[in-house]
Amino acid sequence: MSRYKSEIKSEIKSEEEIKVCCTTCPKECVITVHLKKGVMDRVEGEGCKRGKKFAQKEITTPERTLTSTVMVKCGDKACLLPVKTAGPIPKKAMALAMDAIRKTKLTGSCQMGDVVIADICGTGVDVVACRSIKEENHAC
Amino acid sequence: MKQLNYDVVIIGGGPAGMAAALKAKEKGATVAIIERNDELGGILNQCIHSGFGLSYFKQELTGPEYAELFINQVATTGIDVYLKTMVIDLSQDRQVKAMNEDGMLLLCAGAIVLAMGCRERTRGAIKIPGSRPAGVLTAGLAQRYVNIENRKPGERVVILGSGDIGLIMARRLTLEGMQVLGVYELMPYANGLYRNIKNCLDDFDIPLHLSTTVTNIIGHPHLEAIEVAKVDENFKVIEETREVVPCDTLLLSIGLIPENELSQKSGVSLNPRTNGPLVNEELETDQPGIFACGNVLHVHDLVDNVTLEAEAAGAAAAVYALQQKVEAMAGENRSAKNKSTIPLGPGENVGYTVPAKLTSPTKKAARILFRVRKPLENAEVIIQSGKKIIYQGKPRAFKPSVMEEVQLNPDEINGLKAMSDQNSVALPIIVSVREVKQ
Repeated sequence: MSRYKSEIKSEIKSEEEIKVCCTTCPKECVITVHLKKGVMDRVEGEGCKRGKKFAQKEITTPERTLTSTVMVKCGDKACLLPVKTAGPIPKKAMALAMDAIRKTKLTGSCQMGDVVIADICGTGVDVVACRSIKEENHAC
Repeated sequence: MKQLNYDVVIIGGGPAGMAAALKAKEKGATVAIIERNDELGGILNQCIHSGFGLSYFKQELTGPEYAELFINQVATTGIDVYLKTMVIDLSQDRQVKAMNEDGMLLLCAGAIVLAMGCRERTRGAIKIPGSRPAGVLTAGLAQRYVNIENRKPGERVVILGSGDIGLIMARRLTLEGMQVLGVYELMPYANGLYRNIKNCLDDFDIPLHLSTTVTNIIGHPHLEAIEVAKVDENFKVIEETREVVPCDTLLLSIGLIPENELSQKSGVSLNPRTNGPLVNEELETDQPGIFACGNVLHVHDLVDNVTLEAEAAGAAAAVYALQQKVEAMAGENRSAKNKSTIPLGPGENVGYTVPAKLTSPTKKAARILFRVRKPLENAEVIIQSGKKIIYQGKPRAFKPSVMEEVQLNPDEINGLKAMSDQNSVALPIIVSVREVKQ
């Protein structure tokens, strides 16, 4: 059993207190969430506002940003376009989202930020292009 | 041979090279970037995961996005970019010999910025016994196969080493339908950032086996299995723990080596602890006018830190080159002015420091970067010159995977005795991280 694994397992200390390691930024704050009747009452140890939001999500519906690639046909060549969910999506939706991304095929050029799949798997989050691809791009 | 003149020539068009070029240009220098690939961006182009730019851009970006923001700036600022161009020689007097489809180029530079990055350690570096089958590859190569070339390395994957690229590939391969059986790490702690352990392994129930390594590679012509075993505190294999794990792919994520063959051609001395150049606080190597930044200097864990370091190197290179021009016109010789230096190095629990020397007297604060050699639960940074403590930090936890930073103010440096010539002696500044009993 790894050290880190055991750290995770020991997160749930009691009904009233849960420890969550924030992964929003590289500071890796350990946030203690105090629960009252199963609902978040207050948090401790968060380095910023994003930490509080992350902790709330992590104890209810954990969310992650998903990144992958989509096949793009440019003339007679094909290349991979890196894509991401424009915001975090529920962890549970990841497998379905991957299926949808894998089935998607594009043609022609695109700009960074272009929507590749709108509202993926009903999460309300778009999948967007992470780079621009020009027709004459040698990466193709 | 075609000859060109620039104030600053930057070798490498990754995140370090681009940031250095933009800063040098901003300072008024004429700038060229030489890049061997067919596009700028370096390794960022294959790092499709997010987590970049949190400190520099204050938003979470993927590697290609972080790269494109810089590529767009480079394209609009009048920096000359030579793509598909390979630097084959660099001389002490800052002449760069390069080659591309049009033939040979000679670039004469007022200052050079080394920004070549690093390459991955391979199987040979850790001498894993066994056969030499297909299916054993570095994590970064697998990343290129999957994210750029649309190739699948295998079906059943084992990863050796818990470096960040290995962890990220564990998640990526799982998402693409491959089975990642486990990550094995020789050390009793993980080498990657905690966020990657959590988001890449724990989220997908991929086991991390600490104090365990690969002891044999089995199969020919393709990998069929590996043998793993636990190791004791002296890294000796515990015989009774040997176990065979059937798999068809072994990814190695066992560290990076700064790529300094070119630096050494110009006479730049390397720090044996980092395999990167020995630099002062201006990121200038021991060859005047040759600067270094990014992963060629020391391996970083965050690109945001690379950008900051490269901006400092680019600015210093521009200042050097422009000052040389002015002095040449006025008939002065800068090299005649002796700089006093104070050596700077690692002490207890510290692996290395960048820079490795400080200039004195100075008007600017010096940014000192270092890493601890092992995880420490509660410890404090102590910087001292002889017995005199010049900096003491608050007690906290330290991990080798996180690069640490301390600023030393000019008055703290200027008060110390410096080395004015080769024969004089100055007490070195030592950076230690001491454990504090709670």
